[in-house]
Amino acid sequence: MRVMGLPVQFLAVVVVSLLITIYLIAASADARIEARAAASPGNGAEAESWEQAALIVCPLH
Amino acid sequence: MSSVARRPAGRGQNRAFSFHYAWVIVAIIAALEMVGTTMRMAFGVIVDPLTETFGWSQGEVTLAYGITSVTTAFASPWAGSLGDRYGARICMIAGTALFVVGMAATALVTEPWHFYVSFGLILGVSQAIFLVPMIPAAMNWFHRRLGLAMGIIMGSWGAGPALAAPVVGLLIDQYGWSTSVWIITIVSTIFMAVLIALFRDWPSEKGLLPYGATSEVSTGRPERNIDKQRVAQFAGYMRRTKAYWNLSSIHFLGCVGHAIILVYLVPLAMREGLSLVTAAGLLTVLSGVSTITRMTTPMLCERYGPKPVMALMYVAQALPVLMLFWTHDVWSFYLFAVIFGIGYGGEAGGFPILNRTYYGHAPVGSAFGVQMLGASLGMALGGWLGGPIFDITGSYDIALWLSVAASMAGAVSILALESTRKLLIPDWNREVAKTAPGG
Repeated sequence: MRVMGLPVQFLAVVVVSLLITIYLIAASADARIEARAAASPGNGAEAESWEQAALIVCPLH
Repeated sequence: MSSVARRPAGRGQNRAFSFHYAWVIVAIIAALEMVGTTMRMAFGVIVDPLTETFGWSQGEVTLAYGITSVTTAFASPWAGSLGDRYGARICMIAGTALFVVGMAATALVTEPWHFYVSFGLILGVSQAIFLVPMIPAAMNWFHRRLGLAMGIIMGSWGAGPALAAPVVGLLIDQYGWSTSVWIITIVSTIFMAVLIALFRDWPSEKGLLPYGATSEVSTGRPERNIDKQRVAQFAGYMRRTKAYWNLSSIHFLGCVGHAIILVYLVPLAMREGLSLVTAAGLLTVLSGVSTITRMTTPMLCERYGPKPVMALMYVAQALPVLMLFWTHDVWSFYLFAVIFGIGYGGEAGGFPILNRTYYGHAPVGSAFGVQMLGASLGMALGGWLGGPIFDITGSYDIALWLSVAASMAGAVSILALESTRKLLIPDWNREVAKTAPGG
């Protein structure tokens, strides 16, 4: 079976790997922001641009 | 249309080690693999000297390794196509020229971005051009005993890091960063130039048949005037086969599976109380055992068929990882290293045999390049993902489960590949000749 000319087996590996990568980058960004917030309470930790992008891309964060 | 070698094969070719220039080619490739990747293989040794010499952080230094891995990965399919079109020898000469430029620039670095360009980008491209076309070129030389030939070459991949790391470490310790890089550049270049001078892409260039061919056979070498278009056209045929894509994702899964262990085994063992030296010994044992299966797996694939042997090796790479959930003592970590080394060494050994089984003696450089792309991306992802997982959960457990899952998924994917009983593109040269201009 093929989707867009590519075998499903191959596409499944690509998609699952991308999802895991996106989730881990976003989780990592989330953890960094929380750690900065915990280190300086009251100042409100600002997210760096890559952290913001990661949180936007991942639907679970 | 293909060239036909006319000199009959010599007597005694049924014996494994009877002399044929094909074995010289194997020795040249094995040596070039080790020399051409010295700096990358010894990267762990150069991290501390760079931080001490230039005051860079570890993150700044190791980013260069990430850049070179990704650059080599994305340059690999292109390098494979270049090998098919112009031959491995011309690619080696171009790769050596880039190697000299990249190493000379690396010797002169003063800022991190200099290092990213010289080591990350230039040497990354150089490695792809230099290394990717060599395996398909070796395949040109063998009709029989390809498994043994690939075993010797892949064994050199295991022996390389063991030799390169102490040599580079000793040089830097004695002469400092810049002088050491110049010494490595000059010695490596001379060595590579001599080996390339002895290298030949095709047996017919030496007036020989491929090893094990006993009568006039097609060498698979396309005629010079028409080869570029036909090779490109054949690559198009290959892209229509499922194996072309699936072999890449299978190599990716296998590399994710062992990269997690290779990068995080030492930190994991140290958390269980092992000293740095004792934990580092795990990698030495693991690499040593893997060298044995790197050499034997291609031969087993040739004898018993690549699919069952490769699937077995992927399972052998997956299951020992479960031991790490209950491993706390030094002896049990070393037992793990021995058992895991078997599957880890066997993971890659079947790919050249599968390529031969699926595509015969056709130019498979581009397919091999796409497989190397998958492998390199797998190494990069597996090597990276344990870090964020540990930062988030405070443990490596999820990373270990991902290693098991990736290897097992690879085993299932191998069993789901097309049958190896017949060529996927039979009579490729005739098919391409019919449709190509001038054919």
